Amino acid sequence: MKENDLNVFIDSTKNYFQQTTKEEAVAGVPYVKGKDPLVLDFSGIVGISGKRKGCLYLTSSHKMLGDLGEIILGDSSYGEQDLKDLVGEIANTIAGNARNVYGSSFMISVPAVVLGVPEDISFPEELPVFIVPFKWRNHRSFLVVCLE
Amino acid sequence: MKEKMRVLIVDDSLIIRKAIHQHLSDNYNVEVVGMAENGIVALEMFDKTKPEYVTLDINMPELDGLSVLEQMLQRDPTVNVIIVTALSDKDTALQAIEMGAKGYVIKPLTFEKLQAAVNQLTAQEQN
Repeated sequence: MKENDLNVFIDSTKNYFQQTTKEEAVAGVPYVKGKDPLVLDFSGIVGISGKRKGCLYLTSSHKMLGDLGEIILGDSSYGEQDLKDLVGEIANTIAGNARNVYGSSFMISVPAVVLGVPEDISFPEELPVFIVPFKWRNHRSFLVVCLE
Repeated sequence: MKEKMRVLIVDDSLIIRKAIHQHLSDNYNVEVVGMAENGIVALEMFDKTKPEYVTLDINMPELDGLSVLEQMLQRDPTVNVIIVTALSDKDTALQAIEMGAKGYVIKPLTFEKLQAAVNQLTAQEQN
């Protein structure tokens, strides 16, 4: 994975927040993931296949997803299931929007969602895994990308 | 009084289904006849409820949206389908339109995008 690849997903994530909330999400400096787990309250995971192989996940706090849910639904009627669903939908949108650059051979899975912080999410050992911190309002989240 | 538009909402995301339902109900004279979370359920609801309009996601479990689109149009060539998807590549958009979709909205979903697609569709129908 090259720097340009990472920028595709950074732009896609920033675009998600900008379009959905009309507010900017600020990307921090990307770094290579170490052995320590990196999962917040909810994580949405999308597998990538086709010409490129790998996966990405977005991990977020409950509070951040609550704020997003309120914007999307226009009120605070969201429940836990909505927030769980939302993190998967964000990951799906970030990956799906990357097809603007990679084309239709960039195949994405339907999102899977992991709750809580019981353990890490595993990646192929031979590939580097990059972490991009994001800050939206006063919430932090992390985009984690691994691409062949 | 003009009859309500009968709409089926198909998306594997619960919050997107709710958001579309809310936006359409708040802004248009619609009756949401069903909400489906995958392609198989969507076709079952389609047969039961006979909607005039469908909002349809592509990347879904069980059966993808393009296959659903094909089957819906075989069953009712007059149905108006708006694709609502994160898949932003031109090939998929062109394929959907060539297959017979009447609109293609790229997520992230915003009310403005959905409104533009619905307004375009209703304007086409009036002409």
